[in-house]
Amino acid sequence: MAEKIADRGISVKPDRCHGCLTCQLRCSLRTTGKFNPSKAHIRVTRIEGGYGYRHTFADECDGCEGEYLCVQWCPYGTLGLERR
Amino acid sequence: MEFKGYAGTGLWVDLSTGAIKKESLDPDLVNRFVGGFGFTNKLAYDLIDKDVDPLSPENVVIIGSGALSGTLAPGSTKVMATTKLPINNAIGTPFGGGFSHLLKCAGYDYIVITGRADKPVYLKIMDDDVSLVDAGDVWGKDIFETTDLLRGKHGAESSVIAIGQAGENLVRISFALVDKFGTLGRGGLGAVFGSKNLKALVVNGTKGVSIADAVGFVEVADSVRQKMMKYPLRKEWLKLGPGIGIMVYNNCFGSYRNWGEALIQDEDSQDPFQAWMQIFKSGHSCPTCLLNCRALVELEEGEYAGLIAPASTNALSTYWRPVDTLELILTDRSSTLTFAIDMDSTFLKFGIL
Repeated sequence: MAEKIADRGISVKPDRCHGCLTCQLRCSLRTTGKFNPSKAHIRVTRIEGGYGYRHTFADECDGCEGEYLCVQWCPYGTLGLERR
Repeated sequence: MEFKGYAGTGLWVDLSTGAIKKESLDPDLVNRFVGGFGFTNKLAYDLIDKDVDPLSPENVVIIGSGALSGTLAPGSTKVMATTKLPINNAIGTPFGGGFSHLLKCAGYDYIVITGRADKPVYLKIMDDDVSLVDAGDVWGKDIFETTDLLRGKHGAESSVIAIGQAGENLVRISFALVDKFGTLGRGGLGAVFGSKNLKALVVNGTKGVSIADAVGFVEVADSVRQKMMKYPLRKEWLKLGPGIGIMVYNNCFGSYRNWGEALIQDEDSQDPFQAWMQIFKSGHSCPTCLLNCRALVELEEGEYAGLIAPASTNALSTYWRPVDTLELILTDRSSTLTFAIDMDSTFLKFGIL
């Protein structure tokens, strides 16, 4: 089941996530000019004690003004664009 | 001197005195030895005496991040650990996936660990806050519990290299795990950590890694990424995880009678492929990697129903025939991983049968 992320048009399928952090690294380069996952607008968090991942977006996330770099770079099909 | 792509600092930790020192990156080290494997081996050459006992305080462990670690370069995640190994007294460099990107984000390219702590400790690295912390509450616990407890204390995002009971008890085929998945330390790195009373390293960083030419870097990283995404077997790989290698291993590389014979699949053998699909739960990758050579496996039936264990490519296949039942394979895998004994060293034990 895709989890809808309100207002951004990005859909997330957490079951597909492999924890590669590519989305965070790419996002942080755009937002901070450095590779810095802790400052990315998308956060992939390990579910405590388990092996799954949770995806959250910061309020500042603007979908790269339509470029959606995290979606473009996600290698596992976890992130996608919602059909409008 | 600032080197783009590098964190710029080396960390020196003396477990005997508790002294922690930070040192600027030597330009000569960067220019001649690039990073990761090069750094750790150059430092090992300078610091480790050839006659030193691997399990003595005089042995040195050097943990290193590569030049590309912490960036978007696909598959740039390995952490190197160079030390004198107790299995054969050789200086070697085991490596595993994870940890290195956060070490760079925290501001360090390598860590040099010397001496022996009076009592069990773990090394905590949170940006500039570096300290040795009492490990009394995790000593004696397995890697999974230890990692979970340390993440509970220092954040679920942090990366942990931990040893298990085997390392604490100086077992010479003990290893460490990076973030519960990445195997690090064939040759007894776990025992070297254990001999130093060092239970774990935990790192998280918020400083980030800067590069000289972001546009150019992304262009090259993307071209490599595109090639990897087009790898003809990638789709199957994602579906099967490390199980994709089972048939090859099973037909060609299975150990039997201590490698005296190869394993041949016959009519009575369980189809390893089918058995794998029964237990394969999900695939996992190291940071920045586009392929999943790690998996989570789960037994759904039998005495050990509910058992969940991480798995990597090499073990299931080589375990398969000599042991022959799924439960035994997995429970033994689980116990070797839990106590943190090196899988490839243990399966030889079964090969002899």
